[in-house]
Amino acid sequence: MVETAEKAVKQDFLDLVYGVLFNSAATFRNLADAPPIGQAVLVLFILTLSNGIVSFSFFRLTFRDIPGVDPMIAQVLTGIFPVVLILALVFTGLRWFISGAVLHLLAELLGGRGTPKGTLTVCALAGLPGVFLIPFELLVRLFRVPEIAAAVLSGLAGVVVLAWGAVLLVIGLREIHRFSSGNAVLTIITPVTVFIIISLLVAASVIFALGTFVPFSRAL
Amino acid sequence: MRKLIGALVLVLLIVSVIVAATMNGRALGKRPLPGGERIAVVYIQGIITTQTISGGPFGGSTAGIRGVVDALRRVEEDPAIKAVVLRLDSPGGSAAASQEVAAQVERVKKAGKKVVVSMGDVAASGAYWIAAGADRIVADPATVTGSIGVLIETIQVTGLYGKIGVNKEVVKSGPFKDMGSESRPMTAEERTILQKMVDDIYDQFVDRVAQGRNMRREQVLVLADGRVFTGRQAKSAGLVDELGDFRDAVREAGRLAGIKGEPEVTDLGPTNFWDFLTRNMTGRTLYPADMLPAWLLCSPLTQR
Repeated sequence: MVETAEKAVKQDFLDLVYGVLFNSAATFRNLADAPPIGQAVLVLFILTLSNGIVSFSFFRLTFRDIPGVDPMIAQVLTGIFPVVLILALVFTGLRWFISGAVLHLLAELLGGRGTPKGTLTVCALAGLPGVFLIPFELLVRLFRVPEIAAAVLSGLAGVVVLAWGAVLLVIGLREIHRFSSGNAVLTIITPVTVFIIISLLVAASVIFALGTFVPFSRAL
Repeated sequence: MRKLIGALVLVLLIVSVIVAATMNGRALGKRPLPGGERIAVVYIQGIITTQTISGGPFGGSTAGIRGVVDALRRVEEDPAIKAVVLRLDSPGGSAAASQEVAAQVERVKKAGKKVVVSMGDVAASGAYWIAAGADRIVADPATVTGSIGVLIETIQVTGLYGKIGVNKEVVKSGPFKDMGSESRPMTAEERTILQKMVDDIYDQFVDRVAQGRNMRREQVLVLADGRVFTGRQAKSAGLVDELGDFRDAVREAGRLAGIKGEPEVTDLGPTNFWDFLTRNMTGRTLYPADMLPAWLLCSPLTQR
């Protein structure tokens, strides 16, 4: 009954933010028929822009800490910031599109019945837990947590957010494609596994190729 | 309620972005160094000038003091740093630049930190001006130091100009505007003016040494005829406290700061852009805690 009621309600942006973060299964189920891709793009845009601005601000402040660094470098960094931001937006869009396409292909191969629009929407919305990293990073800075502790805390927070995002992706794909959670997990894990295997193969071949340049290896 | 929570999440994000983008480095930028009580090492190498003469971001051989002053300010502000070792390897430089570093050394001392100077090959003239204010001076026995004095050099090439047919015309607003010009001999009045300047700076130098080394002015004047000393001679003359190497200086700094055992040492440079990048790439991380997770889910920039 609750699900039916939720399907009838058209969600606005604030509902969507709440729903994805705190009531994800019902929310993704609700948007399966008409995925709000415009709102998903807005989420992607806001996250990339916010991360870009905050990361740049912290990066610039880090530069101020380096004794004797030419102020020209800080000026150059400030000057190229808009370009970096635009590039980040472009690459984020490309990455979103490509990862969405790959996941959709795999989902279809595993029996998924969702639309490409739905997969892209899920891919964008699954990044939403990232909103909590920015205030977290800010607090770490404001409380002047020492560098190593800050790195550990930030790393842990990053892992938590990554795991949260992965869970959202699984739930989202499951609801959009109307298949099992196992298939959704397989959809996500397959490209990661393939990537790891290819990386290992490339690394092994590079090490092997470099090994032939070591003089004593010929004698052996 | 759902809308309210959704709005709160977005407001939290927007406020955080605005705060991060608008707050200055004093609030956000400087973190205390990790670990417990530390000793910082700051290097002063080459000719001491207010600006680094060459190298730019690729480094330079002159001791442009901006980086040194920045590093000493970090020492002053960082509660984890209890003492600093100033590693001097410089034949001196401009008096004003030396005074600026000396002033920052005084601020470090006022902040309750100990300052120990370690002298390398040479720590003379302007470098000694800086060293004089330290809590302790450690020099190698063969270090060249001293040279307490001031000079102004001009070059006069009228003979050469005559031979190559160069005739320089000068239009000036006052009789001394081209004082020190290379195209004419110095007048007696100009020499007097320059001598008074040299004497004034010399007096400041002698006062600095007397105050910093806790010596009587007359004692300093005996030593301050411009001569250089070896480290061992300087110790006998009271210009140096101890003979020893850099490690001895670090230990001495630890002892003065009350740090038990072998102190942890942090190299504060000054450094250049490429040093910073390579050190961070090979040592810690390129982007410390600040950069890592924020891009994690939605940016290609973390996929380095």
